[in-house]
Formats: sequence, structure tokens, C-alpha cells
Amino acid sequence: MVNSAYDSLNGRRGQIELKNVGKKYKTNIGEVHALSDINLTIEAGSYVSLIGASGCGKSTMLRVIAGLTPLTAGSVTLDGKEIDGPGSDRGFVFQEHALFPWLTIRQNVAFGLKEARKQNANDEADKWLEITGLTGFGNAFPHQLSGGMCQRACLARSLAMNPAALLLDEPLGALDAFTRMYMQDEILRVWENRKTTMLMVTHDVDEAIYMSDCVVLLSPRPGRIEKTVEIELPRPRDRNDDRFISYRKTILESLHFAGFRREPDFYI
Amino acid sequence: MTSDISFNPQGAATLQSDNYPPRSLSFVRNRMLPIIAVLLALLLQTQIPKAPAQPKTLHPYFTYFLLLALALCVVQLTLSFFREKTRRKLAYKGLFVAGVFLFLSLLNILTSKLALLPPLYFPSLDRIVAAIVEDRALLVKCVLYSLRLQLVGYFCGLLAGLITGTLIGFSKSASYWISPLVRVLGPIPSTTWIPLTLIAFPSALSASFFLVALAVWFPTTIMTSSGISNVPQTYFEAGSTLGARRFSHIFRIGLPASMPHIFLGIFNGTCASFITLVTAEMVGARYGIGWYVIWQKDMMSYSNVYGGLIITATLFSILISLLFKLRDKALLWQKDVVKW
Repeated sequence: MVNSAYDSLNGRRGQIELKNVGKKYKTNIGEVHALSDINLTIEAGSYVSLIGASGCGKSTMLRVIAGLTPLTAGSVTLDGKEIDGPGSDRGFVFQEHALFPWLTIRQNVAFGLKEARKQNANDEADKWLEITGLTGFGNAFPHQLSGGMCQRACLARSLAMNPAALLLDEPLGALDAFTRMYMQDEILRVWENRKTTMLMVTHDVDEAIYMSDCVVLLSPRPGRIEKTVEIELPRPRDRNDDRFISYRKTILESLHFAGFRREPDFYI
Repeated sequence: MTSDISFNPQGAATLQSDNYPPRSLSFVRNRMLPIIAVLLALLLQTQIPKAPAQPKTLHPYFTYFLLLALALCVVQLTLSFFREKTRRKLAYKGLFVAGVFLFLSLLNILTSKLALLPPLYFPSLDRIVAAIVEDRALLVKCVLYSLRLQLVGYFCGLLAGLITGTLIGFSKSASYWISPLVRVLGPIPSTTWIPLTLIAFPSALSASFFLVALAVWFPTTIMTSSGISNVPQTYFEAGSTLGARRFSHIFRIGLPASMPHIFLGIFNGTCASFITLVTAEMVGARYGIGWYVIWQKDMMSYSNVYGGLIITATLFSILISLLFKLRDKALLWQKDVVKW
């Protein structure tokens, strides 16, 4: 039963390519260069994290790929097809779950399925609730569930559409530390079963190293790729492993000195 | 057993009904209170002679009314020994019901027994109940006429309000052209249009339909459009990433998400429609509850005026209760979030 949902896995799809992507916003304080000349290829089935200081364009980049924000230069393709708007082939998990509060959890998960005129949308939704460990909560409303459960329901809602790629915008940002670590494993479990391409924005360096094949560091104003760090650690990963710690050191150093190197104001 | 509840701070915070009425009245006595009050009222009604200034009625109708109330109270009390729900309800409401009958007794003394108030304008309770009972055929007819006017006008206005509200909420050009119109026409009380509608419409009835519809239309439009513009953008974005297109953005996201606002608009519209209904009937209708009240006033038959008012109040409060029931069902998802 549980596995049948994974069987629909259709080989390797979900390769995302960004070519010379740029994004400018017009605001009342002038033009803001949110993204500039981004070139990045995300391999099908890989787990990639975007990390960087706030305002460096991580979320903009994710929204551009989702088609929620139009880009002003370059192009984004998914499996060779140009992206020109939002679609169910790219699932999106919002930071504040964004479940529809007027629908029950089951109806939320079935929303996209009904949109696609799927037969047995509710049965399919129940299957996804089971996979994400929400059996028995199908009739609850979002406000009755904890933050972690809502985020899982949101994951189920996106995954039910069988997307080629899943875009996660700080999906665990609003959760407490323990729920967060638990959810990291949950997301990895789903990913390892389905091998959906995952692109996740996060503020948490440990989370990025723990989960990703590759961590992309962005630097702000204008948002550009500072560095790409491949994480070559066996899974499941150990947060206290020496190599894990050295990856953390590398990334933190790069983040701290990203953009400019500041001289200390004075020496003792 | 009862004092436990009132001293429990958690109970005090969550269940208001546990705090009031005061627990100094015991549980059983609370349930007995209505019967005691009705018996008292009966005693007053039957034992004290009527003042000669009040016209006599065919039957002692208020006595019949009290006997009926007594029977209901006895049934309730009996039931309360078997059903937990009835027991709680009666223990809570008992004091209030008793209060109502004491108030009626006071009115009875003032009007019927002592005739302290002018009998022409303040008829005895006997005469008011008599008016309702003896004029029941005409009253039923009037209620049906009013209901027809209310329901047809109301649903037309509601539908129109939902449509214009949705258009303003979702379409920029509709918002550009319709909103100013709504802003100018909306705040005018719909009864102001009576002189115009009387010449613009072929009959007084169609004019009344229009006025009632107009009264519901404005608040529904305003609250629907403001509800839609207050829907967080994330819901639409989440919908888009799940494959939703324009149609679903409107009907599966925008409208359901703005239901709390819409119901507020409908509630305001309903109240406005009641005012318009009665006013419209007073002006140009034949039959209808508003017409009845005015007609009886012109006939100087104040007992019938009060009878009409009681029927009107009952009718409207039933309609409002139905609306609240519907709202509670539709807004189940935000239970404990909004209260009004």
C-alpha cells in the first residue's frame, strides 16, 4: 500500500537548469538587483540547499523556479522545458505551511488531485497522509494540528501531485529544534524513496549539510552564487562526524567573509 | 458537586455558563424556578380581579397561555431527570425563564389588574394574546406575504451582492468601474429609493422586491470584495503550484477563504433587509406584517399592533437563528477563532 505510491516514480526527471538568470525589482527606493547572472544546474534526483544571508535572493531564486515570480533576464528550464508560470510539476512548500484553513487535512491534500480531475482523489490523499504519518488526522482542520504536522501535510499535498521537483522555502524554519531534526529525517525518508529533485532554502548550515548532496552559497546585493560545496558524506549522516564539522567550518567561513573581507577595527 | 465547578479556575475561564447563574441557587432549585414563577403568575392572573377600565375578552386567553407554559415547564422538568442535556440547559436557563414570567406578571398588574397605564395604548395581556389567536388567519396570511417578499428579495440581493463583490475582488476593470458606483449608491438607505421605485416599477410588489434586494446587496458586495482582497497571497500561490487556474482561484480559494467576511456582510444585509421589508410594506403593500402593524395602528387597535410586533420579532429572530446555524456550519473550520 505504502510502496505503491512510490512505484509511480518515473525514472530520472526533475533536472533544473538556470542560465544567466537575473531579477530586478522596482521599489520606491529604486531598483533592487535581487539576482544577477545565476548559472546553476541541479541534477535530477539530487538534494540541493540554498544558503546565504537574508536578502541574498535565496527565496527569489526559488520563486523564480516555481514560476511565482517572473525573471527579468536569462532562462530556467525543467527537463529542457522552459518555465513560464507556476505548475504542479514543481511542488512548493512554504515556510508558514500555507494549508487552506477552510479545508480539512484530507481535502487539502486532495486539492491538487481534484484540480487535475483525478479519480479517487480522497483515497489517493489518504495514501499520502499514511506516508507522511498523518493517518487519523484526515478530518482535522489545520488549526487543530501542530506546526510540524501541518508542514507534513503540506509536504503530502505537494508530493501527491507527483512533482518532478520539490521546492522548499525554509520548510522547517518555524519549528522548534527537536521537531525540526525529526522532520529533516522525515523529508529525507520521502526523498530517498521517491528521488524527487529537492531544492531547499535554509538559514541553518547544519540542516543544509545534513540533508543535501550539494550546498549552494549565495552572496547578497546583487544575489549571485558565491560557492558550491558538494557534501560527500555517506547517509545517514552523523552531525558530530569530523568531516561534517569541517564542512560546517568551510561554509560558515565562506558565509562570514562572503562579499568583502573586513579588517578588524583594532587589535588588542 | 456544583460548588466544585465554580471554584475551578479553568472551568471559570472556559465555560461562562458555569459562572452564571450564581451557584448559591442549588441545581435542583434552578430547574424548579420556571414552574414556581408560572404558578405565581397564574395565581396573580386568576385571583386578583381585573380593573373595569380594561375591555373584557371573550376568553381568559392569558390564563390559557400560562397553563400552556406550565405544561411545557412540567414536561421540561420531567425530561431533565432523564436527560443530562436538558438538565444542564434547564439549570442554566431556569432563572431567566422565571424572570420572564415575573416580568409578564408585572405587566399584567400594571395593565390588567390596576390599569395604571392608558388602556387604549397599553392593552392587557389577555387582549394581546386574544388579538393573536382571534386574528390568526390574517396574521398567517401576512407572515406568508412577508416571507415571500423577504425570501425573493433577499436571495436576489444576496446573489447580486456575491457576484458584484467577486467581480470587484478579482477583476481590476470591474473594480475600476463598479466600486465607485457601490461607494456612492451603497450607503444610501434603500428606503430612500421608495419614491423613485414607486414610479420606476410596474407594481408596488416588484418595487418592494427591489428595495429588499438592494438592502442586502450593498453590505454583501462590500464584505465579499474586501474579504477577497484580504485573502493572503500565499493561498493563491499555493493553489497555483498545485495546478489551480483562474476559475479555481475564485471558487476554490478566494470565496471560501473570504467566507468569514462574507457572512458578516450577509448578517448586516439581513438586518438591513428586515428594516426595508417592514418599511416597504408600510408604504405600498397589501398584506404583510409591516402593513398589518400600520393598519391596526390606524384602526387604533393597539392589542393587534402588539400582536403584530410579537409575530414580527419571532419571525425575524427565527430567520437570524437560521442564518447563524448556517454560518456555524460553513465556518466550522474557524471555530474558536472568531466570535460574533
